[in-house]
Amino acid sequence: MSQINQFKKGVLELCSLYLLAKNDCYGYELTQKINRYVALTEGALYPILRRLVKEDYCTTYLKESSEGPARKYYQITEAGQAHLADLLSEWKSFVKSVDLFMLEVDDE
Amino acid sequence: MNKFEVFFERLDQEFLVQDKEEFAELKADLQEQIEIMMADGLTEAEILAKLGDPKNIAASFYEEKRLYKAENAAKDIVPLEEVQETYRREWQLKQLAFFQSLLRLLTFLVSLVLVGSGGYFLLFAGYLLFWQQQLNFAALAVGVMFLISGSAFLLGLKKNSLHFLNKFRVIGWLALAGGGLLLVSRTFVFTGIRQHLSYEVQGNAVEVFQLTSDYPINIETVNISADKQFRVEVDGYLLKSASEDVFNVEEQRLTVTMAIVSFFSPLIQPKQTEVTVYLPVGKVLTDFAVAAADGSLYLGDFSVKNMAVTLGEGEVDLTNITAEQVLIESEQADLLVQDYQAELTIKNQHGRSILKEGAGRVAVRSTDGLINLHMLEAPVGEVVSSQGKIIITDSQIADLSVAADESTSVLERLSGTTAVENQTGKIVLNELAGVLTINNHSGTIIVNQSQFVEAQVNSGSGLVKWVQADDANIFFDTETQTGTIKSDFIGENSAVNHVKIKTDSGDITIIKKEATPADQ
Repeated sequence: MSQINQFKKGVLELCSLYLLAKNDCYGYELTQKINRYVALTEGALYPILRRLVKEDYCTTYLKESSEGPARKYYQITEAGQAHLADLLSEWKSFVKSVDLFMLEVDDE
Repeated sequence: MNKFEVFFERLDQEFLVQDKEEFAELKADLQEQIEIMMADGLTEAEILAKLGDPKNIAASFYEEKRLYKAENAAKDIVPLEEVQETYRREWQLKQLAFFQSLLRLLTFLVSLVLVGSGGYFLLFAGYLLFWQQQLNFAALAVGVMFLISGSAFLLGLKKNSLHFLNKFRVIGWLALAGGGLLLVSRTFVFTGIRQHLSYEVQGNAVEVFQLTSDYPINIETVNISADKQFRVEVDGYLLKSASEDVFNVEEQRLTVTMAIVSFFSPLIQPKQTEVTVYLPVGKVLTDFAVAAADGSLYLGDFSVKNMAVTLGEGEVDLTNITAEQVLIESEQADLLVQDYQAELTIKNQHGRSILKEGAGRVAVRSTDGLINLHMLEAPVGEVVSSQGKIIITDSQIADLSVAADESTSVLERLSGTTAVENQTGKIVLNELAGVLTINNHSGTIIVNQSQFVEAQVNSGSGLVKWVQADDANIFFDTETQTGTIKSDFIGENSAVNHVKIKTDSGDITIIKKEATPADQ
């Protein structure tokens, strides 16, 4: 269906919101931080961020930078926080379940 | 174009036209990142590698878009391409359906007309068979063909097959072609049945003869000896029904009526019918009236009080008629009246009117037909034409008035008072006697006189050219506003005979000619 791994996509949304929950970031900052752990096509993150804004999980604002032009910062909203909490709990139970699943399959 | 431009160009191509705004936003985001990376000292190649393939970025964009839609859609989502295709097909189908229903409606109406006319022709064939005792195969065939054609088309409609040539339509077209061919050949036209009818009036019972005909006729009057009876013969092609009511006598009035009053009159075109009127010598009718749409009338050698001819088109020839009043009205007749004694009134719109050797008051009116009066004697003459030529020669008309618009008027050797009213036509006058008055707008006036004629000429812009044989006693009293006067006659106001010519802007030329020996 797509050149981008579907599995990874869900994780990118989670990672972005997780980072934003700590600090407001601009786009490049996010791509670099995530890229350090999860390899990604950097340009492909922007459409994801766009959707998050559209779904009101984030807002954006422009901020002058000491070096170069103004940057677009992303800030998580309350809805974003709640969504992140849901995603995290789902993620954790999902990972736990998958681990358990593999453990039991291996035992058979 | 640098590499980033190429990159954005390629990315742009991945986007739908309707998503251009969002593309611009994404481009801004990516440009921001590119600038930061450049500031960090990355090379172009490194930056492009990190950004990724434009195809992937666009794919990500559309995936997110779909995801957003899917999360917010009430029921289902459909790819845009499919929506567009569906809409396009839907529209095409609607159009097709519209044209098809239009075609069906048209076919239905045409079929009804075909069935109707088929029925009409069948009724006509039936009418001919039962009332005229004539079997007309062509009419029958046209009727059947049209009926079959119309019905087949109607059945084809009911079948609702979209195919242009289903069985019924093939039959419909074939029958229509057959019927059409027969229709064009016009073999179905009914020309009447040959009949010979005669009516003889006993004694002096009839004073009025009146003939009305819808058939093309040829009428002739024939003199018979005084001891024989006034008789009318009709020999020609008539409807059977019509023949029963042709003659009718009522209160000294013989009426001959040949009418085509029929529901089928468009399909009836009779051949010419001969009518012969036998008049005993010395018989004087009070009225002789003929009315026909199309005919040739040869009437002569009889006396009548009032005569009236109404003719659409054809030929009228009156010779040796003595009457109080003769009235001829026609749209386009070739008219010749000669050797007559009557008060004559003629209205012949487009035909030729020739009057010769007659006596009596005369009035002729035409739009564009020739009017020719020759050797007439009349107390009053009135000639009116707008475009036809007027020629009046060798006549004694005490009070003649000619009114012309564009017609050329030629008047020669007339005596009496002559008055000409003219617009733009030419006026040619030769050897007139008596008194002449001309009121002219812009036509050219040419007068040629050996003798003196008492004249008063008024012309607007028309030229007046007067040729006069030398006569010491004529004084030309000329006057013009802006025209030029040229005269061979040197004024002697004391002269007995005066010719008065006056124009606004027309030139006046008066030429002296030698008197010919005959004039002396």
